[in-house]
Amino acid sequence: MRQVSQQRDWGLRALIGLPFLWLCVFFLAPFLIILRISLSDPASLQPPYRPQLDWSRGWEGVTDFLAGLDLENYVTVFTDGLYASAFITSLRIALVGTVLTLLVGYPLALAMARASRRWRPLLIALIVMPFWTSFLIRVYAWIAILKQEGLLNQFLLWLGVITTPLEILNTEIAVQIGIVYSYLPFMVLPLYAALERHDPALVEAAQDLGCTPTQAFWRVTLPLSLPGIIGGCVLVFIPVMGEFIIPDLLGGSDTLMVGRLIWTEFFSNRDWPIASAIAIVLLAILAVPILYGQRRAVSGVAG
Amino acid sequence: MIAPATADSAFVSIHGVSKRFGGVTALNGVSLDICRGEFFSLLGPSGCGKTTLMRLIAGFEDPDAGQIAIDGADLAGVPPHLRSVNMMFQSYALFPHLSVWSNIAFGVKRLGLDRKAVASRVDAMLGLVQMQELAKRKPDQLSGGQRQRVALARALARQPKVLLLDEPLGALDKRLRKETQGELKRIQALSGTTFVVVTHDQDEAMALSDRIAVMRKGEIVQVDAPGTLYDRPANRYIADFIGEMNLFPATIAELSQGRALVAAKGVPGTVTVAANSAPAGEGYWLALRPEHMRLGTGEGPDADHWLPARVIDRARLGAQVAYRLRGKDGDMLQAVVASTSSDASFAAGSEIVIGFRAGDAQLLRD
Repeated sequence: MRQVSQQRDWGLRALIGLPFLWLCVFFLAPFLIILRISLSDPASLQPPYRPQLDWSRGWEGVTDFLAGLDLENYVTVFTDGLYASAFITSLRIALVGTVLTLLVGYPLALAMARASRRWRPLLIALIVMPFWTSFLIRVYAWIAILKQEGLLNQFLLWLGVITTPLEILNTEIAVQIGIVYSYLPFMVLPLYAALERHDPALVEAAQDLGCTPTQAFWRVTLPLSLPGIIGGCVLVFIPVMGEFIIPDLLGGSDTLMVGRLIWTEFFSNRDWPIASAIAIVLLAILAVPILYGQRRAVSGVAG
Repeated sequence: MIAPATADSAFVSIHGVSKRFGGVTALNGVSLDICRGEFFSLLGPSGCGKTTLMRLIAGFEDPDAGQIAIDGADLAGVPPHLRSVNMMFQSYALFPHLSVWSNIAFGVKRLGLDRKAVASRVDAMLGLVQMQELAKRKPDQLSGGQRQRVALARALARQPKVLLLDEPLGALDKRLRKETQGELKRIQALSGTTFVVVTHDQDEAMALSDRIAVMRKGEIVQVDAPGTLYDRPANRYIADFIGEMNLFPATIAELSQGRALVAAKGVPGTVTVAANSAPAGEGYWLALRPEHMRLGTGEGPDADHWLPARVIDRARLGAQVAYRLRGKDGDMLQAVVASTSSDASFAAGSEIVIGFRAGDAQLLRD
């Protein structure tokens, strides 16, 4: 008996260990490499940073290597106004984008949850369908819609709402449109899951107890969907903070977001250490909502 | 004070109400009067329209035709939150994010009372259902019986003119049900509120109600006190639905002075039963309750009519013995006798006779 349970124990450990190993190799190891580069200095070498660990010199090589590491890049990130403003811009765009996505996504999710059971699978399929096409191509398509002589301006001119074409492309508005469009499914699905779970009689009970339909929404439907709101917002906010493609394709030269900054530092300026430092700071900022979301998810499962 | 326009016999007045969902008729011209302070039940199998009728009173659905009035006030076009009606939902529909106290306070807060009045009303309700100790708990920390009591307190807290209860005991186990029946009666008497219960459980309706409306296919078949429904069912459907009944297909051979001479299949000779203005002919049933049946080894003086039968099985139910028997034509018959009587000892397989008095027999239509 004991033998069997021990065998089962090992099987369980292997089952948990494999994904753990995967995360170590493909997440923790790259993270440590980036952390190490962020503590180095840029150099016109191959690879473009110093110091390099020289094993051939034994212990002395290791101490020399450690002595060569410093926090200089982090000081630059925090003191140079360019980097600070990129972080602030990213935070602002991510916050506004998350709120806009929530405002668009909530009525959508609510309508899906209240739709008849027959229609729900189809509605979910429609929400997921955009994933069938490449993200890059879908964002590219928005250029054709938003540009000066694009579909949107042509349509508005034809309607007579405007007389001169609007300048939307290469502005922050275009970036926000791109964010809401691209991240809507990540908002709608957790919201739908939270809204669909609740007894429809709860809303009737609220009305029976004296609430108008609007009051019933604020006092019952909304509080009960709070886990979905938090889940959706975390799922949208985190990737938007580091978003590169949308600001690069739809944003103007003035929408400097962190993702784009990292790209520029890595590939244009070949300053790997500063790019790594920015990436580490971004990760530290994102750790707050990630940990919060995780705690909510764990307590949600336990409760 | 101006007296209500309608008499108390029509505190809740439902007149000619019809409701269709798509192609399905849920209610077809239902008229019903419920008295003030009455414990009234809507009884019927699922799909008979009882739940629809309750949702119409609560205001969750609008009737296609007809009027509903409470205490003389027509409810047409009045939304649920403005009706002096509250409902205890079948699922209880307690708000999971609120404590027991806040659940009960939810409706009271919308009455425009001050904070103190709300608190004292909620505390009184907690006392009524004996839930003071659990006021801080969330619904998912309560047992089924406790949730039921919170739901009842929440619905009563607004002091509605009518309380609707949708299968109030349906989610409870059998033991708790008996206990809760008494509890419901106590609270109804204490609050003086008019209770309208929807149920498919005839025992529950019989035990609780002052009057019962039995429904079938969107129509009301009979409205009467439980005893009257049992003793004088309006037709075969009611007789079958309320309690057990032995039924023999019957034909009226002759009618005179409120008496009918009836020929019933499986019963030798003719039976004389009371019958008012029934047209002669076929399509009748001779109906007898199991407790009115007599058993014997041979025809005796304690019954007017006897027919041969064989005992299929015999079950002791406390103070009574229930027999299932098969008549000559293969039809099933039931008899219930006191376990102390001499009729109580026939073994399964015995060939005996089963009899009844003509005065106990009823003539029913389909």
